[in-house]
Amino acid sequence: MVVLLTTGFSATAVAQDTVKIGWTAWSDAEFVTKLAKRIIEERFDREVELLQTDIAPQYQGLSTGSIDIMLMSWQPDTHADYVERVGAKTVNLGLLYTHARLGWAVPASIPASELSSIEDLKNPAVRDRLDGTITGIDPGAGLTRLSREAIETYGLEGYELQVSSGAGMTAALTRAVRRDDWIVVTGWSPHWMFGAFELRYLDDPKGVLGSFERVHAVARMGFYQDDVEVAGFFSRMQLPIDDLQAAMYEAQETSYEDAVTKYIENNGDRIDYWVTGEL
Amino acid sequence: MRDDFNIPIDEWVEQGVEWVQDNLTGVLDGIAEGLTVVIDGFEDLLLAIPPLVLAGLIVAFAAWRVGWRFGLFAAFSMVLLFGMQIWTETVSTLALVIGSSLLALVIGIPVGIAMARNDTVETIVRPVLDLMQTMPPFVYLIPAAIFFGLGKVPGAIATLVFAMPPAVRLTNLGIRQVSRENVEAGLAFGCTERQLLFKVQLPLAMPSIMAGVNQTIMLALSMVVIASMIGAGGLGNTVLTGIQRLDVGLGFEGGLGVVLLAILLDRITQSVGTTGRRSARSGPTALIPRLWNTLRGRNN
Repeated sequence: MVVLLTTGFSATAVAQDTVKIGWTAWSDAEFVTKLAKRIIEERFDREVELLQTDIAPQYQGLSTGSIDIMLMSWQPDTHADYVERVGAKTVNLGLLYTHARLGWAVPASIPASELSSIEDLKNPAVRDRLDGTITGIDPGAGLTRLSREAIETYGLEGYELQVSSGAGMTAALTRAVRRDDWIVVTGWSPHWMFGAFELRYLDDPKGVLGSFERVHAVARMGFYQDDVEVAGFFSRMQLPIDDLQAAMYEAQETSYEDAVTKYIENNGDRIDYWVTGEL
Repeated sequence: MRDDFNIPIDEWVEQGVEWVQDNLTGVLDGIAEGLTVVIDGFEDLLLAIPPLVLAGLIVAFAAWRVGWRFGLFAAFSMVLLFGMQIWTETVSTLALVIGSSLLALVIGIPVGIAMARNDTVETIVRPVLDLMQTMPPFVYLIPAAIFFGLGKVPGAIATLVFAMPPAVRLTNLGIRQVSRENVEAGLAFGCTERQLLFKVQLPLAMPSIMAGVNQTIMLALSMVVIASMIGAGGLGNTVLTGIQRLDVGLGFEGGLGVVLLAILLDRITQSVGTTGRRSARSGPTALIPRLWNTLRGRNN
């Protein structure tokens, strides 16, 4: 009880001057998070602490107040499980970018005449080339749940969803591309793999994998009241998806720090608006 | 500072990984196929036995090796595993643990023997073991997946690398601790090198070697959970799913499955190591008889 009280007090005390942002090492989240950190430090003269964890603990951290905000809540489908569980204990501060999407992707070297739609996977010749495997990500991820639904909805018999992790999926993709093997991965964009390899999404005529997703900033309860200035900044922060992809590519080539610097230099007006709210 | 002074270990490692991918594809595929046969075969075998029969066998074995109380515990564990509906996952994890531990021992024990008999080998192998053991296990996952794809095979290889060091170390230590008198007695009676190893050193080192085997199995069990991040499946999958869905209950069930499996494997392998000499069992319960024996000068 004493421990609980002390941690509770210190969390609120610290929140007055340090903004704690949670993030996961996804390329898009890393860029947006580091961009926000730099702007808050330079324009609001505040300390920012970044906490890197897996995605599920981020939501947990928001609901218990151990982080103030996170900038990578994929809605409505991808993070539906988390939002359902802790949504009532968090506050949505609005869109960061739209037109993010989920889907099954294949290397562009696979001829589109043979494989361009999820329907094509039913072809036994295609199934043999793929070894009856769809390469997935984490077993608890929203994308995994949707991919299982897709296998069922399209009646993809003889297919297995090989779950592993985001890193496992990209490792398998790297291996397949180097060996010129066929592979279908469950993917999402923005993601660095689309910059590293020539990939394309398979058509999803039944729309099982969801349409475009929106990425939101989500804060803990009470953050807006504690920190009106910074919360206002987050509620105005929004990037066009093309800008984001370009910056992610830039970060891949140089570093996230350089990409952030360049973005701030080139988008002064937009960032002024985020900070002040004046157009 | 960061720009001027840069030892590009990351680049070297990446180049090494690329070189292996480009030049050793055949070898890698051969290893993968061989391991697939062993590990899938083992899992298929265990899953082909009707669950109740397999559970009964495990309980009987536990009761026979360790004692009837532990047999009761084993029976209770089986009921829990069935009740939590994670039997298939548990068997799959068990197969992977046994498969990768066996491989670790097949490689590790001869290496340990070589280390004990040759100081140069020891000097070379020791830092390699340090690296294998202290490198965070997550680091092995990605090269394993890049070389061998996703699934049980890369999982088994990452597990094998992580779990082997104790078997090597304790084999080495056990043989080196065989007293000079015993070795000299063996030589005086005209042992060949081979006889000395198999009839004097290995039997006397057996408790130490078995402790190594036990440690290897325990490490394999912990690694198998991590290896589910590259598709090794089993209980690790249950744990990961629980964590990722913030489903504390499911994560706990998976974790409890791992704990039960760990206790069963630990006690059973320890009992094999001591071949009926109950007093040599480790753990708190064995402490008093062992102290008693030591006081009476009967050091086993």
